[in-house]
Amino acid sequence: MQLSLSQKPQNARALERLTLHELDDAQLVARHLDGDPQAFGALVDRYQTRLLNFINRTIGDRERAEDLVQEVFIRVFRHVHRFDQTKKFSTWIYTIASNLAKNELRNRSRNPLVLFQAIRKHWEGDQRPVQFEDRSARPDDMYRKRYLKELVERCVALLPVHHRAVFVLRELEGKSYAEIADITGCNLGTVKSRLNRARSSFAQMIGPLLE
Amino acid sequence: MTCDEFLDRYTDYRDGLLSTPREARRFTRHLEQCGSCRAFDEAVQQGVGALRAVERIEPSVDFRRRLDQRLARERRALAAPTLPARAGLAAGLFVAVALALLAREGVRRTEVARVPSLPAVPFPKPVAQAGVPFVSFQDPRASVVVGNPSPYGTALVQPIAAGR
Repeated sequence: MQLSLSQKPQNARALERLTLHELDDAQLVARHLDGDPQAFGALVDRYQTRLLNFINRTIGDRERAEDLVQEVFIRVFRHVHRFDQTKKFSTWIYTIASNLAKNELRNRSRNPLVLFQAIRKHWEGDQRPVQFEDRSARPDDMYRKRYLKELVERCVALLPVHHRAVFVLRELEGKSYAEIADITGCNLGTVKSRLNRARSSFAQMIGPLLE
Repeated sequence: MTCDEFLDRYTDYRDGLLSTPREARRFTRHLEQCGSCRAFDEAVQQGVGALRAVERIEPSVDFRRRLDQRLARERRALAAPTLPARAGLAAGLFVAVALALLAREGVRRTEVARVPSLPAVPFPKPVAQAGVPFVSFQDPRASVVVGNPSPYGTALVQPIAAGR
């Protein structure tokens, strides 16, 4: 099939993008450092959704999570030349994301107005936290199935911050203990004990709702 | 195996980190026998399963456009390092002004104001009070008190040189 002149560069770019998406993180970083303008975009494509979900689960504010994901990519862009390429890129980018999320939570705890606005935003009608659910008026199965996903998300949100981060990294992001230790800046023993406590708290909260 | 041991090492069991198959069998056997620990394990498994089934949120339509704009600004900043050039210029100007001021100080002859000298006065008479360990010096120019004003309460102390 003959291609028109305007189609040719577009197709070439699409092909190049497809090729980039087949490369692993380290290769993309190397391409970016070599001056390939598309390589960083491929890294963004790969991590934007994962980081957005990770930060959103950590801070519980979608709009702010988007801002923080942007900040993560800007920091990666600025400092990628200093990144030790013998290490895993995903661990590095998650470490940046985790630190930004922690800073955000720290700043919120210092600013009562922001904290109050965040609480009020999630405090309408059926948006009450799980511990205040009326257990005597048990909803039927359809209702429970529909809201189960919402309930488990709220149970995660109710975990203490340090436990939540470890729990999300292990159960949802599938990170190893060593990676979690690098990302959170803790030793392996701390990761293990936090994970055990997080699972225990999670089971205690969600268990009665699953009966 | 007790329930406490099961719960303490549950993370090892769930993540497949138990060191031997025998240990794994002990955990499995405990789960078969203990309803409470079985409920705990099921709660974790079902809860995490439900959590994984939650649809992942996607970035908003505007997200990528905003990020691309910011990245373009970063690229421009990298390509044209204007800030260090300006900072260097400012630092150079600062050093030049400082050197000029130093040179001006070296050339200029400063005038020192002359202060009239005070008339010479004799050494003041020290007076020691017997009661309180305190020595005061009377200024002879303020000659309100002459000699020892209270001979019973105080002692007149004169410098050694006064007797010679």
